[in-house]
Amino acid sequence: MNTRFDITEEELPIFRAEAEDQLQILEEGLVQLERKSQDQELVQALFRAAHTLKGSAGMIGHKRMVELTHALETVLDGVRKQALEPSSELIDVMLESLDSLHQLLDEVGSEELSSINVHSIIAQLQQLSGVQSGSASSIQKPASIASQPSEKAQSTNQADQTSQPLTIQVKISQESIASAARALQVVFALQEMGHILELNPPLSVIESATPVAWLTVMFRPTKPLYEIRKSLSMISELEEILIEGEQLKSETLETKPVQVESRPAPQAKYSLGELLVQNGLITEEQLQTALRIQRESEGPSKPLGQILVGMGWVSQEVLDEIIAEQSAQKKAPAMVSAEADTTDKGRTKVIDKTVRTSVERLDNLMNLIGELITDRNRMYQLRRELEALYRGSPQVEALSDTIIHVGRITDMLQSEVMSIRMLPISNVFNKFPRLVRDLARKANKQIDLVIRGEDTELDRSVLEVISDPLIHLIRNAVDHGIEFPEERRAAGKPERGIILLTARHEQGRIYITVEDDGRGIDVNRVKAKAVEKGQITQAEADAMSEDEAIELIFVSGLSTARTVSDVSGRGVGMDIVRANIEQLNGNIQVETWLGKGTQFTIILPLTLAIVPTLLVKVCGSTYAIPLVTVNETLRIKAKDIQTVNGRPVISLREHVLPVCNLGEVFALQSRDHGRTKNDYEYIVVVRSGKSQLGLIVDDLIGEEEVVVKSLSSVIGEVIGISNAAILGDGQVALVIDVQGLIKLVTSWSERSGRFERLPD
Amino acid sequence: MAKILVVDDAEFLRVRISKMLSSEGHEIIEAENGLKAVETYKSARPDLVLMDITMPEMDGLTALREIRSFDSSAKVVMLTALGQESVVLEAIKAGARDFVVKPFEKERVLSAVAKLVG
Repeated sequence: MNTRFDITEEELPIFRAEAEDQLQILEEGLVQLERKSQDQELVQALFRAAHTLKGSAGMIGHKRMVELTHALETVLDGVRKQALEPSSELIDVMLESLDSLHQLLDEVGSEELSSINVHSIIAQLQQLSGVQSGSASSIQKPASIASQPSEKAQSTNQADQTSQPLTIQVKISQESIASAARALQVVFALQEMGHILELNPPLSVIESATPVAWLTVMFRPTKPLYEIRKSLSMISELEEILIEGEQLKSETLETKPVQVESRPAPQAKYSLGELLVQNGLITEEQLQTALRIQRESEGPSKPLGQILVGMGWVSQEVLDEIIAEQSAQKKAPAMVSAEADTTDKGRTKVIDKTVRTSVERLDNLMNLIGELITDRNRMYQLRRELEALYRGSPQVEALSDTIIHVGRITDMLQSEVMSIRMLPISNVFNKFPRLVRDLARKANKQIDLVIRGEDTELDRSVLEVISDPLIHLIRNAVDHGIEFPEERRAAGKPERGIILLTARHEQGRIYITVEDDGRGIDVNRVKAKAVEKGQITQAEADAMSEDEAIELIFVSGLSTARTVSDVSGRGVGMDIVRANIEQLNGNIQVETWLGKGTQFTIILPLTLAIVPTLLVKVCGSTYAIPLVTVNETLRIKAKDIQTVNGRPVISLREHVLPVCNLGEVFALQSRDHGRTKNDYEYIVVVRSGKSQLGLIVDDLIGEEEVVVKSLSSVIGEVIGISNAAILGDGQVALVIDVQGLIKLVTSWSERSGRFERLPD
Repeated sequence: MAKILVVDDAEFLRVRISKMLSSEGHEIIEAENGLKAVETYKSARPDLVLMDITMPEMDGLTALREIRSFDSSAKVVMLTALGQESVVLEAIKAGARDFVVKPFEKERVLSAVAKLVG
């Protein structure tokens, strides 16, 4: 329970999620506003978001958040009314205020207070906008309400010429934010019940939203006084209601037969007569008779109550009681709801078709499903064995059918749970417009960020880890990719550069691209840099293909930016980006066109916990190779494996592909079973980025979705192995870390001074 | 007990108000903007509407007018914030029966509701 703010545990996640949504709308909108300052709809949406945020913050009593959102709202209001130009400087400060709001939001639900000084940023907002926060209210002249007076009052005009004017004074609470509106409510209420002869302050003043402390009305009533009182008592924030002449007139007023002749107006349902009827003290006929008597009697008419007492239909005591009850109802409307409290609560129905749950529960669910999939795989295996053993047995057939059914249900369960865990990638993408804007401004570049496919959904575990690599790629695009405006102009390109960010689903994988229309990667510069840093020799550089050279950008410690900037360019990055992505069983590829731009493509599995793999046999053990890394599988004759520079290679579609024997890499026992050169070898072609490698295996088993379990906590890091998985037959399979394996194989050849490259 | 339509674009506010009112035994329906409020009003015919002013799709003032033109006896209480004095005035002219200023206390909402549907 948070003690600082007025919010319950239950409300907290809703509050936070919504506040974050509003901040997101503001952030995205402000970035757009810089270029579309005339977009009224946009400004309106921004204003609304600030306003809503302020409202919610106020409800939990977060004063500093209210102050800051109010200042922001004021500025946006200025922009909305076109009194303010949203300059880049102003947007800078507004975006900064969003950062502060994020921090203030973090206070809610945490025990720590941030050290944010809202007043300095509020002062900045005010200074830049020239608006004082207090003047937020828009003072517009409202339209006249001349057409509003009550028709009922007019129609009864003649009937009440005789009634005496009353002086009604109401005091409106100083707390009221719109005392004029309260005054107007009083005016409207009274118009329903008679004629306003005089108003102080006059209507025009009230309508101009000038605060009203006291309202004095000269009034000729057409309704009984208790109704007037009741009606006024329904208006909130009236501290005092003084009606002069009340005692004198109340009895006579009651003689007016207005409400009985017509059908009772909704407001008039508590008239004395009706109350008596409702309570079964008199009958409807008795009431009508009494009213007729009242109407037809000559001279000053008698009060209804007195007529009824006179007829002997009610006693004076009962009458007094009912009148007392009537006024009690008016004074304490809350009592009614207090009574209601004891009534059936079961009827309360909040229409809400969504349920909130914690991420841990979803994770647990996913883990359980992972176990289930392992068991399903095991059952499939057993089913095959049983079918082979007891062919034609009806029990085995029935069991077999059941297993298939359970398997299908498991699949459905998995996809259902996965879809629950799915979140649109916009959750990550939506912070990038601000990022690009800020980075570009710092780097003095002009860049538009274009986002496509932000609705593409990914598992939230993937979403969580994909953000940092993307930020890095975007920083690089801003810093290294897009040129300065003058450079672009000179190259015949538009001054504004474009960074295109896309996401899509394809074949059960997610493709995310980061593309820029900048200068592209200069392969020769990359090589020169690598040579300069001593990472490769000049000879190796000369021998490198373009693709190989581009791969160098993923090598640690290499940055080709001419100057190390604030944004990126410290040369620690692309290697980590690749490592992070491959840790997710993903893949990153780069394509570049000199002078035209660069495209990075990240390929990821849909979820992290369950990985589609290709199972292979090596020296009697099963290994799982993530399908995302598998290009193809080959079956070649053993004699087609040649040795170049002491390393085994094969020729694949006129390219030379280095191969390695998994058994040898993992130092398993030699698998030479006396094969001849004409025996076939299975090769799985895997890739990491642009590097390809053929893995020689004994046998291909097939594709299987496996539930991966981390190994590092048990045996530490093993090069070439990323995880372990439990298979259908109960065996444990090791999951191959393709990137690590390629590195391992490459380093072997480097150690022996034979960097892999072959004559074309 | 009354059937009350709570209209606010902030779910947080809706949840909070709904809880206040349902603990009093009222039946609550919710809508997240003016447009949905008008639709819901027509189909569910609540006894009372508590409605925010600043909302996407359709603001509270417009929704108030639509609801009142559909049902001239509709009881609508506006939920408003500081700085909206003139809008509140417009709302009262358009037939809003009351307004409650955010941030509001539970008692304030309950008494506004009790006054109109007690």
